[in-house]
Amino acid sequence: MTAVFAASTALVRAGYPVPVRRARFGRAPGGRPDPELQLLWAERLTTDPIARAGQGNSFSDMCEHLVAELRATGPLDLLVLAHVTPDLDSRDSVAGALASPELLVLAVSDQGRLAPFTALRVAAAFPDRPHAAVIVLDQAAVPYADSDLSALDDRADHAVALLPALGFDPVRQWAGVTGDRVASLLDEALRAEQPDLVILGPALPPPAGFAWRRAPGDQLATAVFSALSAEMADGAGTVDRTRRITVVEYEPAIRGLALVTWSEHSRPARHLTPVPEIHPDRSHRR
Amino acid sequence: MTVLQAVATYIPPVGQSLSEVADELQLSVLDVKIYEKFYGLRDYRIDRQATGADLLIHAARALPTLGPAGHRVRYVLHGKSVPPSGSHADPPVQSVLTPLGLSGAMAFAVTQHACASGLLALDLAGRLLADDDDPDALALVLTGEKAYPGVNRVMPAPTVTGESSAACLVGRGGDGDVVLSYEWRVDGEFQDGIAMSEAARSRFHQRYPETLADVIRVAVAKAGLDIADITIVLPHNVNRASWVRVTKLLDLPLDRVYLDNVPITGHSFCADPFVNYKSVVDADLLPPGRPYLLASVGLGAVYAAMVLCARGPARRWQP
Repeated sequence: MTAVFAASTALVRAGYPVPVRRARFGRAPGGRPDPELQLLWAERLTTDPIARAGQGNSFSDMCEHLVAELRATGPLDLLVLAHVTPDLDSRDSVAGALASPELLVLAVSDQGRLAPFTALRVAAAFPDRPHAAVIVLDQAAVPYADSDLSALDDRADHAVALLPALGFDPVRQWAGVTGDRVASLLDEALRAEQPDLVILGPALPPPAGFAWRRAPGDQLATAVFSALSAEMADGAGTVDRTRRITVVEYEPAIRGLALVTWSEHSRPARHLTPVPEIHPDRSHRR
Repeated sequence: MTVLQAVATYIPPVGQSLSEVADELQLSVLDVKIYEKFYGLRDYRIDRQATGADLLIHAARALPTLGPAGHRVRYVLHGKSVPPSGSHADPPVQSVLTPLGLSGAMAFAVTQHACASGLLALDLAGRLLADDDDPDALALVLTGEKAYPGVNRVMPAPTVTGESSAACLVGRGGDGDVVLSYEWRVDGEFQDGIAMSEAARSRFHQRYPETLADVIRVAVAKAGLDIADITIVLPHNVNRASWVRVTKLLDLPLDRVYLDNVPITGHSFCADPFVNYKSVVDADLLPPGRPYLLASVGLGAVYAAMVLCARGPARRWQP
């Protein structure tokens, strides 16, 4: 496995914690077909499992690399994982692989591309664990056919580590957002956030009146945060004022919209705005 | 403050004897005898027609208070033992929202504590509510998953995994049982779970009772109590024999552990302590004002215990 890390280079060299750290993982060693694993998949799927392609990096392997990087810059007492697709080995325990008495490891999933936003929200709910990280994980290969995943990057697995205490505030989510309501809700939310730059997930329309950048279309949960990392690395040392970057993602499968604003100077992440504030589906019931 | 306001369960109505399903679970005649006589297991209770979402919906619809309070539910958490394994666009926790009238809630799964993820989800629900601006907001914690024969075949503990499920309505106030403490521990030596070597399995079985007993002791101490104060332990239903060993270490009478469901439901992913809770409430075995303890152990290996204090009249969740 070859891991390629990216963050603000000067900060990393100086050993400082950085808000966003992304990594690409090339092909993992080994990765032979496992008959027992194929059996487990076979009985859970309505179709026959397919031989997995892709790079074969387990969630544990990717997390171990990133956690080592994080621990080199400071303590870690909470790790919230966020993922869309399943770990290639459903028997794998990241909590077990990273077990240490002071570290709580949990994962958020089954929420599509919005899982990382919920993970940031979860991290904020642990004021007794101030040294938190969120790691977002994408494996391109799953052991079943899924047309929604056909455009994923099959050259690498991706992971992004976020440090919630370093400027991620607020986190907001809206449920029950139909496609025709996305643009107006996004416009309203961005007018409240007033970012210098908006990073958009692939299903979102360009916002009017704000500079924007599109996240890569060949990643899932990591897409918008990889773009944030790239933007921060590109902009490091070139600005002399506080930047506000709002990261927005929409998950059509569950009709959910989420955003988080990162800025260089903001309150700790535990003071997040409660979510969801708007309940479109409820308005007609009240 | 985290308050367990209501609990409802779904237990598949038909149980098959282990002899009937011996081939499916790859149990020999001798295995069946040992499971029944030594481990206290009897039925294989699954719902072959139900999807994973159906199991959760059945439990949640049995909550008499969910309908009137549905508009206050901000969070729906599915404490899961097995990580996601189907289409990414159709997970059970999302599929239940519309049928339950909860489409305005934020729904997601919580994993990594394996079969102890239900207690983790309950703790997390309380934390999310504590951090919410709305003091009347509620969380719905769901547990229960499809049980596949392959899982039964590879589980390191002698058990039978069924498909009982539970739904817990959680608030940060109101009538219900107050969470006093929560303790967990991960023993990374056994991170391989069902893929553990035989040597590792042997060490796991040796270490299991003492580690679980220790986690229970710490949870009780964090609640400011002594083990003798605990009215009843609501365990995971993996088997009876393991609790005999744990209670000896705790110097706790075995009848203080509710084991009546072990032969009926067997083990159900994450749902066992809540299934047992509903049973003891229905049987009027949980006096108001008395502390009790939920316990679970997950592959990986994760040990968890939670102490709560019963409030309100017994049989309070009857419709």
